[in-house]
Amino acid sequence: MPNSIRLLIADDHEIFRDGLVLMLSKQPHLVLEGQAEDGQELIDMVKKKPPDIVLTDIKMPRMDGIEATRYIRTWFPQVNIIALSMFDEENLIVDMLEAGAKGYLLKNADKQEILEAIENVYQSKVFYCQHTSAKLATMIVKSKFNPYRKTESIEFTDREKDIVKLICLQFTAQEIADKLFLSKRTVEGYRTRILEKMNVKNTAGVVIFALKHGIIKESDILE
Amino acid sequence: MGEREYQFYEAVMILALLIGIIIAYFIITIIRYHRRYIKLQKERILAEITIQENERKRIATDLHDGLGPVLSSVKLHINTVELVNASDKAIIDKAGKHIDEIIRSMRQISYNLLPNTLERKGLLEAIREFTTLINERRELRIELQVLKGFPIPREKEIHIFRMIQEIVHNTLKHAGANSLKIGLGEDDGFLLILAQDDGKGFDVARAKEESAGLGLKSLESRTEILNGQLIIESTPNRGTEHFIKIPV
Repeated sequence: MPNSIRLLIADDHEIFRDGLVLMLSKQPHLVLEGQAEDGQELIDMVKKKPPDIVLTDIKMPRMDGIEATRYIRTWFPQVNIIALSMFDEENLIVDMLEAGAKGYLLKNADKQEILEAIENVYQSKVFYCQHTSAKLATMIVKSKFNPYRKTESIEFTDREKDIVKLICLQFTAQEIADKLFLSKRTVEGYRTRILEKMNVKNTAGVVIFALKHGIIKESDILE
Repeated sequence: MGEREYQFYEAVMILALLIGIIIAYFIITIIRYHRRYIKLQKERILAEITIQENERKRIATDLHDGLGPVLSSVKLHINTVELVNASDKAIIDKAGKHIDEIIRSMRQISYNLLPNTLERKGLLEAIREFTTLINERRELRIELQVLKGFPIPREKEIHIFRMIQEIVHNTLKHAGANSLKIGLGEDDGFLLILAQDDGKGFDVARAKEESAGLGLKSLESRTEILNGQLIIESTPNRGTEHFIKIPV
């Protein structure tokens, strides 16, 4: 049984909060401590009792998620924040990360992914939603958001680099295996090791890490 | 010269003068009428385009704020159902995929109506995003060069964005070009846009005559709204050049 994680959520759409609350309520180790309708209300709640994690919408009336995140990260740095984003807010996601959010989820993420995000961010790891587009990945890399400051240089073998490139181009394990004349299992083994080395969860994490560290170039994935 | 003859000439002169005045009056009236007509025409186009843009914005907002949260909520709800039966689980997964598909289409529709980026980050970011999206399709290679940052009044941005969109769409649809170079710059209070493609070119005069050039019409209307100038030069097999100059 993992530690219980205390959560606050903020979103101006009640119907979405209902769905989220319902889903979270089925998880025994998650404790929902409150729901806010906007950034101001969220800050008031955090001030009263800082939670472990905040899940917040970006666009909200009165005070948006970006401003609230900046405030919370300044005064309550122990509170980790996950941005909840609609489908067309890539620019805002970058703003949220720059403001101090540790991860982001598209609002149509699967249950499993939402739980994974909470788990990762609770451990102060960064979480990129698996729906991350190539464009968003390059935007994150170019932004001021830099979660890799502490990482010492990690060496990758040429074979690993080849596989990283193909992963970034969204090839499946089978396709990579065919291209490199390896077995699918070998490729999966490589993939697991690469994810471990980079300390990321999914393809989106690999793309962002690879761009940030110059293993691939922006033009490799965009054009 | 006899008295009568003098009177006759005088009458002729007066008559000529009168006729002259009447003709001049007519000409002036026609010119004024024409000017007013052009002005009204311009106002009508402006009103039409403004209504259209507002409507687009409203629909985009409705999709985003109205449908988006409901769909996400539905997905969360069905995801919460705990199932032991594998085939039931497969059904729920499939329903979830369908919702993702709906959300993806909504995203596309909403972007086509009004790019969020234009509202939030302004013209340059929106153009960058748009050209990146087109480049991702790998049908046309767009090279965007922004020579200098410059402030553009908010209300003009949407028109400039639509013009660039129109040029890119025309190039995609008709030019059969491999590359399109778009340059943006500012000179002496004017925004300059130059777009050059390497496509098959077209007969500009004929396209303007034919109503088929609906895209051209929209380019012209928006240029007019912005009090700008639009020059299109095209040579068969030598590509097309759009040059736009807009006071900002």
